[in-house]
Amino acid sequence: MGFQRLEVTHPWVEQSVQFGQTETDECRLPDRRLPSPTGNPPPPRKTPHRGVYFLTAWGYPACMETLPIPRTAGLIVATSTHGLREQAAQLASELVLHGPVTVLDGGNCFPFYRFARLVRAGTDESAAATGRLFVRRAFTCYQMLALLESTPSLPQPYLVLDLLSTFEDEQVPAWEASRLTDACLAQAKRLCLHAPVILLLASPRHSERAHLLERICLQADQTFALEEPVPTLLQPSLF
Amino acid sequence: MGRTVQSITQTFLEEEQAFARFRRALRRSDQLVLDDLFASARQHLAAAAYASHALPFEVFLLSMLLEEHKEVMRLRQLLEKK
Repeated sequence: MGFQRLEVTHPWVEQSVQFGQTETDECRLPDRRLPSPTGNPPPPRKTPHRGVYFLTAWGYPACMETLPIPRTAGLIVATSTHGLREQAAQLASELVLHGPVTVLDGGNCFPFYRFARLVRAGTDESAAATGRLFVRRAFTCYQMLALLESTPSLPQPYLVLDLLSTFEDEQVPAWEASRLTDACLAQAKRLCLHAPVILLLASPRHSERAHLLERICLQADQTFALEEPVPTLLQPSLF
Repeated sequence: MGRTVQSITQTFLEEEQAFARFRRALRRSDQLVLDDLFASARQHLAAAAYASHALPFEVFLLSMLLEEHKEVMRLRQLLEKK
């Protein structure tokens, strides 16, 4: 597969790279920032993944303010401490504007109304766009594995929401949850051969099962941690 | 099995809450009118739930319009009788 152009249009990043490059290997993103007036080179970028990315692979452009968009087929994991509903809605609404998207919802948390609003804001043909969204849900960890196993590997993005939600069931032994996690990871690896698979994971509710999240993060090609927004102090108005 | 989406009453309350700042900025008389509009939309929550529309606020707006038109028709009939 040849390289396809990936345009990064966010002013924070201002880069242009080839599709297929990652910043973790030898293909470093070119630093095209202007030198300072003193002639000193600019300081190294601390957060290279931040920004809004437009992915042109398979014709699925996407943009998002909080999460970068996958640049290539691979397993991308994003963890958050404050819920993933808004991120899921934003990501799915951008992706469906340009092609089919499959959402595998493990936590029954996909915000449909928010998604519909975002799609409506993005296009006039909201009915056609929402028709390109395929949502499948699982309510137990066994169903989650069956869901992943029965998902065909197609060249379209997969969005897996709150994969580990059902794995924290107390009635599922730890060894069983661990085995099922490995099986789910194997299925995710199968899907990510041809398309980006994005795992949006919430922080574990029980510390006993926190190792499952670490195991998934170790297997990921890219990992992002979404930080909780810091509340800003506002002067209360008089009226 | 869990719900696919939240209930229509929860959605209605969320939409109503989203306009709380707008309501606060209105005059008291207009606030009462706005409350009346939302009350008229609330009368058709069952129909809105059955509609399963992707954008429920559009159904709420139509419900408000429906009640307004009913009022117009009632007043028109009164005028015709007189």
